[in-house]
Amino acid sequence: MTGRTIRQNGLKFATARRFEFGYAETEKNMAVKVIIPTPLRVYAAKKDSAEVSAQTVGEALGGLTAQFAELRKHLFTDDGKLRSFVNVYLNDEDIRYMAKEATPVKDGDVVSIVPSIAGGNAAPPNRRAQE
Amino acid sequence: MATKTQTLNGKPTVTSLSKEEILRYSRHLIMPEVGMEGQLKLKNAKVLLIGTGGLGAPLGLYLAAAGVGKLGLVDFDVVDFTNLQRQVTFGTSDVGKHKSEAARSRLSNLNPDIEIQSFETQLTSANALELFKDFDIVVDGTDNFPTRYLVNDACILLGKPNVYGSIFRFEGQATVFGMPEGPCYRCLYPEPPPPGLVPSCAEGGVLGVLPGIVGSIQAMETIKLILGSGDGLVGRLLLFDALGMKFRELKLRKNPDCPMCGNNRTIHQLIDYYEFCGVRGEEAPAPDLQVPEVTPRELKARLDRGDDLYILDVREPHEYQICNIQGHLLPLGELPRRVHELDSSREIVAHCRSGKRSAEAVDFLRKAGFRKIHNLKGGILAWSDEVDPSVPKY
Repeated sequence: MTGRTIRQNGLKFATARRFEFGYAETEKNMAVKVIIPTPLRVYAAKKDSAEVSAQTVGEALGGLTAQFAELRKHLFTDDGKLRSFVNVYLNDEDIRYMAKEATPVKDGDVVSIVPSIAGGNAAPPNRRAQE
Repeated sequence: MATKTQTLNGKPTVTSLSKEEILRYSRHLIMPEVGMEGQLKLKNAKVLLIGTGGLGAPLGLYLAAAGVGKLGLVDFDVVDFTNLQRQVTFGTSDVGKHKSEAARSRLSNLNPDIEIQSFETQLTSANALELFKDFDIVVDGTDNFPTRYLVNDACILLGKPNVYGSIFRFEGQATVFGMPEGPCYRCLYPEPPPPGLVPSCAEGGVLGVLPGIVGSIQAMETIKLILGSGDGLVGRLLLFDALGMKFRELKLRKNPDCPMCGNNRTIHQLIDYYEFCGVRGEEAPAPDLQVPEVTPRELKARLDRGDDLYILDVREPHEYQICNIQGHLLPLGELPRRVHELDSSREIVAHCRSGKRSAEAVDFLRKAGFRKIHNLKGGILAWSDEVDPSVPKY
């Protein structure tokens, strides 16, 4: 809860600053770690995380797909929207309950992609299908 | 012997333990967190396990050993050799037996004082509510999206907790859904990924210990629910990375717009979950993926005739090491950037393990302008069945 309040305050502060300084103030990009889940690592050169520079969660994911182009279609629809079955967390909060992709990030934040996984048994899928 | 009394709703409730049971459960009984009261709660609890495989193995073993009074085991599958690497309920002599029955036999040997019911059936929308109604807690140890949504929806309809666990290669997830104050599976994942987008076959496999760990977490959560003690995983998604040996946890919120447990519920009965998940057999090529095929026997005949065919193996290098038919290895994932390595003027036969990935490869190459290309129907598995049984299947 504390983290959330701080971020909300940060958001207010950022908004206020934007009003005050207008476009003259270029907001600083934040160093963010994006955790890549196992099922998607095959599209990300087998890496388990990536460091990106961003101001929002959306930018962080954009930075990730800029590094690993093959990831794009697994995260975004053709018109650039985050896919409905891909859950994204900023630290331990679901961004759906924050400002979604516009959620601002700060230095040291961790963005996690949490895809649905169904395994429990991991029998070869064709055998399951046959039975 | 244990004594039974009648409760208000007419179901027998055990109110004491036998001398043998007191000895068996003594390590629980001397813990104040369990004690006689907790052990009796366990003995009166009824838990239904969906799936007796990788997750179901530690679940069944620990819940039976702990003295959960009634265990239901739902599985339609038969034990095979590939199960033994992780499904530790089963022994080599169980291969060929029905899992639910083999598990029942193993668990009743472990603890003859509990009631174990095996249901040798596939969980479906037609039988789920009937199966669930006699149990207090449902534990989801299945391996596919349609059944996970079915278990969730049936639990929400009946108001039963759903102890969730799921694994993929080195990664696991666990939480508790279906509590009145907590979220459900659809709050977390409103809809499943389309088939084929999340790698299944190509990137499948699981380290044997992983379901042991995640299933044990589910067993612990189940026991805590029964005892009513500790902090459960309700509202928290536990993520486990076995390679990094890291546990993380994320907040799970009840989605007010959830179609199943939200304020304006739109789902009031069980649906066709295969249709919902777009799955009709994950390994079969999607219906729209019509590609030219060649059967293993046809391929063999053409190779014997000396036809100039380029065999393209689109599996991963580690699969090539297991077995191969001397194809040229070019994994499906690398095809887009290595397509120039292929000669479109030559006749190509693509294959994988079962024919699904190579169908995608053939589809991709046809769109890239390749005309003389076929998919080996049934992949290297069918090659082993129909042409060369010395090629191992995996």
